[in-house]
Amino acid sequence: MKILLVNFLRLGDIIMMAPLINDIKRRYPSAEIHQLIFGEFSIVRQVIGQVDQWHLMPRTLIQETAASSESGLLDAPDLILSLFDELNSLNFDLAINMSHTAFSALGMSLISAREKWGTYFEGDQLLYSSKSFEEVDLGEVKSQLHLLDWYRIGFRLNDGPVDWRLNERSGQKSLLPSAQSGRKTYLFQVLSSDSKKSWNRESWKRLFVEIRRTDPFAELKMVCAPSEASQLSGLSKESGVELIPCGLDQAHDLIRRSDVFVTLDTSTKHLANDSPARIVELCFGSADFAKQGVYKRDSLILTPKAHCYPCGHSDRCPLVQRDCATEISVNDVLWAMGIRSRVARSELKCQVFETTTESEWSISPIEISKGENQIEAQKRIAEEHPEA
Amino acid sequence: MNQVEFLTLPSGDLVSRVRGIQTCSFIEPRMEAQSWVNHYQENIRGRRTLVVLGIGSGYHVEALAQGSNSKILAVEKHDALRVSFCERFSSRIESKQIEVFGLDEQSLSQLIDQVKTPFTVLTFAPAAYLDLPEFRALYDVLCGRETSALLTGQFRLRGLQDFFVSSEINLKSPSESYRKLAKEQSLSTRWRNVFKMMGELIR
Repeated sequence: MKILLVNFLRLGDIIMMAPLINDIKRRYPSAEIHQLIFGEFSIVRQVIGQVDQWHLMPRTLIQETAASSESGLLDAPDLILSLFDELNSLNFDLAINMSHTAFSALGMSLISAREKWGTYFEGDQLLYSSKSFEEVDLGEVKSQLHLLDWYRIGFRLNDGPVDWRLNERSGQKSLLPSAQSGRKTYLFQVLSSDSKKSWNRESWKRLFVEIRRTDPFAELKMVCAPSEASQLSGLSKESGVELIPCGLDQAHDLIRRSDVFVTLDTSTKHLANDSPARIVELCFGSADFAKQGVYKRDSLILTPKAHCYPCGHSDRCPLVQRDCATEISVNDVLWAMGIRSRVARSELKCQVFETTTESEWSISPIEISKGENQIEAQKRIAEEHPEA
Repeated sequence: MNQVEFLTLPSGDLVSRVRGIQTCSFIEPRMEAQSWVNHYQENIRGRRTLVVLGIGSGYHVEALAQGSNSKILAVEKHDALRVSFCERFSSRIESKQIEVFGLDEQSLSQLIDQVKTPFTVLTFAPAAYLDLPEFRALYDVLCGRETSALLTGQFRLRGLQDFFVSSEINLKSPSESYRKLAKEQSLSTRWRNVFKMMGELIR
């Protein structure tokens, strides 16, 4: 049996859907699995070893060809059609749309497979393989479920526990020396491709100083993509935190050997689901933790209380200084990392959720009583008064 | 002055001039041909058809045939150059790897029927620039962005004969053009869906 998975979402979403591949492998153990993704996310092949063959949609080339005055108007569509002709020559038995965009549903219409799952066009008509997919408004999922659960239910693959094991087949050996015992290792994902989802540089610096103050022997490491290294070299030098530019496979390896992983809304947080590390997710801007948050049980999700959070993906922040970025304090993160355990919950500035995931993703808010908050707020005002 | 003249170089290579202008290098025509092919490597890879505008002395067409398995459709305005090329490279012509066309209307119609997508159009400047306006017209039919080009050539060479493309299509903005083409009911849903995908990709 040949199965084609279509995923025209971004890098993090492709990793987030990896358990679906394990589900499909469990249901069809001898199936040959192919996956079609946008070419710019081909790096994901480093960490998803369950796929037998990858196919890449050359999005950038198509866009450049369409925009080039030296190419005919039909040259770019030809690139799409030739890719699908090539795919159809492989005679797939089942095509599964693991994304919910108009682009992917249209792409599904060009695939000849005996059976199709997910959302897809048949001619001009939009079809759904299950009732739950009717909750999609191409590009947006109205369901309140975590996207991974929503897809598992839609594909009726939720008959077993979520299996987060990545790279089972690649069998790659660790590229890094093993962690030294006895010293805590804290790993940080400081940059996000979306600047709205980032924290202040000064906050990161202060966080590193405070950790060092509490635990001088702790190992602090920042992980980033090789292309991001130049943006972080200054912060690394100033704070003395080791910067490790690496691919996804090495990042996965590093996370697995860390005690705590502090991350923004990035692809690495989904890698962390397949690790014993404690995850602290910091959500800013448009980071939608309810649909794409960290899945692993006993992780902490910190969100700002700003009225505008979460904003829309394409909304530009009108503020000079983003409210959300200041509403998660260094103290909050230290507490979530377990470094300042003595900090009273009432001192937390942000909202905190703990993941209580069992067979489906779930969270429970860590409540702060109103009274405590008011007292703390009054205390803070008094302390900040110039005469204080 | 004769329109077309042939000369034999000391190396034994036959080269040509049109209206006194060289159609290739008179020092190293083969090396020039090879570097032209190298320059276009990216455009050649994976294409079923290569359309070459300008045969001139023909060495670049021969170099292209040596380095590619694609079908080559070579276009030249001057009869003498076409005849000379077919005589010198007869084995390529017989094997049907290369087909030669003139620039008259009937030849161009035959050429369009021979083009299989994906294809690319390669211009050999020393030969094509001698008759640029005529080559330009053919280029537009194959690759241009005019509505008339779409009507007369580009859809036809993709096997679409019966369709109607509105003259209102705004070809200056590709995204608008794709959106409008996506609504053309005379096109198959397969094509309409591809145009919708293009509209999604270049918002």
